[in-house]
Amino acid sequence: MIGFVSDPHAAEAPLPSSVQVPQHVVYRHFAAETVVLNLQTGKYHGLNRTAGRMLELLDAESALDETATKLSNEYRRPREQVLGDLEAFCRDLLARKLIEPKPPRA
Amino acid sequence: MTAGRLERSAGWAEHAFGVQVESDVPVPGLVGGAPRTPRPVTSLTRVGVREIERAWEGASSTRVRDERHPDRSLLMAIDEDPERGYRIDTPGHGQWLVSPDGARVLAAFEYEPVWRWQLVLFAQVLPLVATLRGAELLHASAVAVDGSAYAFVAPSGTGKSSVSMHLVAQGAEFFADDALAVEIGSARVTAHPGGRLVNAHAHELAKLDEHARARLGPVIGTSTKLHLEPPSVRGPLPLAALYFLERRGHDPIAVNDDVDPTMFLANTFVLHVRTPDRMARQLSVCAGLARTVPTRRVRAPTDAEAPEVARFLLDRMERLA
Repeated sequence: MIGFVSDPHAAEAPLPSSVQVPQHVVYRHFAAETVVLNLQTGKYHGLNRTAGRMLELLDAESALDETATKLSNEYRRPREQVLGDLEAFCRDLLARKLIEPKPPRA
Repeated sequence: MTAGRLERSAGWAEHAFGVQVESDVPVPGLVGGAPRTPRPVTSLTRVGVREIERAWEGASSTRVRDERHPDRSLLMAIDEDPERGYRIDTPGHGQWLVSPDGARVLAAFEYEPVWRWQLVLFAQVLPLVATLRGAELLHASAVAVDGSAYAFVAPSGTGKSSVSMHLVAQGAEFFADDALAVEIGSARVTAHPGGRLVNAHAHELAKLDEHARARLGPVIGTSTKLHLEPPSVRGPLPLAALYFLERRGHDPIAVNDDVDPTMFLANTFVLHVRTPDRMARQLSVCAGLARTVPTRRVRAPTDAEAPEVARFLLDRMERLA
């Protein structure tokens, strides 16, 4: 389900429970993939269809747990498996600075 | 108004690339009448070179484009200054100063022949203005068939302009050459006509009979190519299809829908404007095109003649229309 080649070093850092897509990152869906653009670096990144859907749900939900539940229902896969894939995906996105931890509400 | 003869007048308001241009001199090749777009007007004022140089004095500019002839003499330079805008220097074809918002163009060019500054106006200046005014441009040519625009993208040197010319000769209407302005709506993509200038190789023109040749309009100048001013559609049209042309191998012309996002992103225009807003807009427009407009990859053999490729495309366009 993962759209990137995983960064082996990214697995060690703790994951935030909620994330957000920063303002300087925009993404658009094409027919079979999603293109993500970091406006600060000018770099484009491509996500397969599933990864594009993951990003879209993360953007809407923020919390990884809720996103995993929705994906599990949508794709009819075991939630634990989906959560594992989602966490690996988030580590890659964090490493590429395409998402950031969402600050808790004051 | 005669092509090639400039006269002072009260003002002209015509358009190309979705930009309404008001100028103090006639600009042959623009499309008459308002472009039916909410975009503001851009003024074009003919001045002397000294005025542009004065306006640029003290600029802390960056050269964003530098193209040279084989002998290293300057072909074109574009400099950008955040406050003054863009200065486009095309020796022998004029010097231009475009304001940062695209609202004002100062133009310094030799009186005659008209086509020499028309080339730069339609290939560089107005596409830049349109981009600064919020439009998005593709590096594409286009023709109109039965009230719809059909665009085709091809790498430089693969015969895009020749194919475009033969499409017009075979019955399509000229719409744009080399730069195409598009707008993404909720349900469709709208394309805006470009400047009415076709640059054709003499040997391609020689393949046409008199009737086909007449469809391309008069020859208004000669350089390494013949420069023609074709009639054009009068306003924007829905974009019905987009073809990515490529030349490869020796198999017959074939079509497939194997189009990926990089092909759209690689064929945008006015690459030297790279503000965050513009880059985000480019991405949105490319995604909108991919979602809304039928796109096809057309592979032609390396030795296919332009009229043959044009005939193939026109057949497809007529079937879609």
